[in-house]
Amino acid sequence: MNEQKTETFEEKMKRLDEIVQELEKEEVPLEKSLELYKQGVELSRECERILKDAELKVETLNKDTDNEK
Amino acid sequence: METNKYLSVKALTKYLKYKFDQDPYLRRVFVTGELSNVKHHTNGHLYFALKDGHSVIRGVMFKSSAGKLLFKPEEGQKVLIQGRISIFEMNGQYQIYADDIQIDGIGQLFEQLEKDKKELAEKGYFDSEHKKPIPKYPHHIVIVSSATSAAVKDMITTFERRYPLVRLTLIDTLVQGSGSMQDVIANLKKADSLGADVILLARGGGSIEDLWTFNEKDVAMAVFNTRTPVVTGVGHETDTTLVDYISDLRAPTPTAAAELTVPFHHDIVEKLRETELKLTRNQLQAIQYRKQALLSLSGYYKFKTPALLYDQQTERLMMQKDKLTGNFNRHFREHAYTLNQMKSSIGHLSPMPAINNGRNQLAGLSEDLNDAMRMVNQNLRQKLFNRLEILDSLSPSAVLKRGYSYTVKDGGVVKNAGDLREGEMITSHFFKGNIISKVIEVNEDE
Repeated sequence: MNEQKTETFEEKMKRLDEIVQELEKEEVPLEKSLELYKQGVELSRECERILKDAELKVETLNKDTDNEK
Repeated sequence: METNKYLSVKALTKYLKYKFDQDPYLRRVFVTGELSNVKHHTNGHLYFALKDGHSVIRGVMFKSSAGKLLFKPEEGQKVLIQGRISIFEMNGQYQIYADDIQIDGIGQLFEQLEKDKKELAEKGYFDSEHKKPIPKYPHHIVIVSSATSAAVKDMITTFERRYPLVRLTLIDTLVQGSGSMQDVIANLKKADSLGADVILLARGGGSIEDLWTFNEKDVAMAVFNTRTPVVTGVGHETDTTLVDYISDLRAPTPTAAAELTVPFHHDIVEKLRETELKLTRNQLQAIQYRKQALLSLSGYYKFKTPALLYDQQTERLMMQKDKLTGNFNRHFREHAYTLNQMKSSIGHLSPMPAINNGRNQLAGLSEDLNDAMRMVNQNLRQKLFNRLEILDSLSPSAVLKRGYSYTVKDGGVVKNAGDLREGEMITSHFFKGNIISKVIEVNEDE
């Protein structure tokens, strides 16, 4: 498996989701909520950038048995 | 009549029809070919042409038989037809009157398919509990399909357009004809080993025979046994193959499979923007909420009028004080009363009258005593006086009065002249006054 060192887009989206959920709880202390907010906005921008810069990578594994293309 | 040689068209046609109808070979024929010009007439009859590379024969199937068909005859289908050959007098065309039409070879396959489908359904392999969820944002997708097919090109375009984030691995696979079943099974296994997020098993539209590989039970089981979620997109919208039942997600076409597997990046951006807005709104709200709380706390009337904080206590203190004073006074009065009572009762027991009585007696007695003492004193004084008179006649002053004197030297009375020496100073006392003399001569005798 070639996993990326950094977290995947899905993980980022998931974390963003968690942050949103966490922030929707009433009892988050203000300091924590400010920190989460900062993280959330950063994540959101990062995800958008990733989407913008993305390029489809296609790799073809040919039939290792007989047959023409 | 010359004209007797000539037959009417009708008569000739009737003759020909008779020849066809009474021929034992044409009364029951079995013919195979490809359907074309298929027309389902509103009256329920089916009209068609049956052809092969060389010839065409028209055909008809009457409503009574057509209603019993197990499939819908369509253009291009290879079929097996049972029927009879006859002539339709109105146009003089010979045609096959079909009693039964079967899809060539595929009939038995369909039967097998129905059996397999039933078996797998009974085993619960189609149940939703076996459907693995498709990741929301797949990172790595494996396509199992024919690499050069239009279907694959469409899928790649779809990914490019919708979600270029994805990494595609295309496993070139034989999807029809002999060997395709084994190839699909092997490549599904290979795809499963890549640790991808999703496998797309796809094939573009084609005849039912072309798609048959995806109706094979072994292929369906291979799909069932992959650990990676499998999305199938086989044929056109109307084609539902066995793998579609068993896969984790069924898409009507390969392109649809690609669409269903990944989100649309515009939607994500939209969602991200919404999320950001929501976060900001929530945060502002949280701050606003706390501001409000602070405001209402600092505006709390007790903070503004601190006296309110201890008013109650002051009041209580005062009440207690009053109560205490009241209690004390009451107790005091009670005790004072008791004291007075005791005082008045003790008054009767006072020794003062007795003391006063005694005192009076004592005064009387001491008066008597004084009188007695005074009398004794008087007597004694008289006696003393008498003695003093006697004593007085014996005192030196009385002697001196009579003219005698006495001499003193150094404080001592001189009794003998011999105690004096010539030249010594002596003092001689008289009844009145004295003189100081110097001894001139001492005469001891005399």
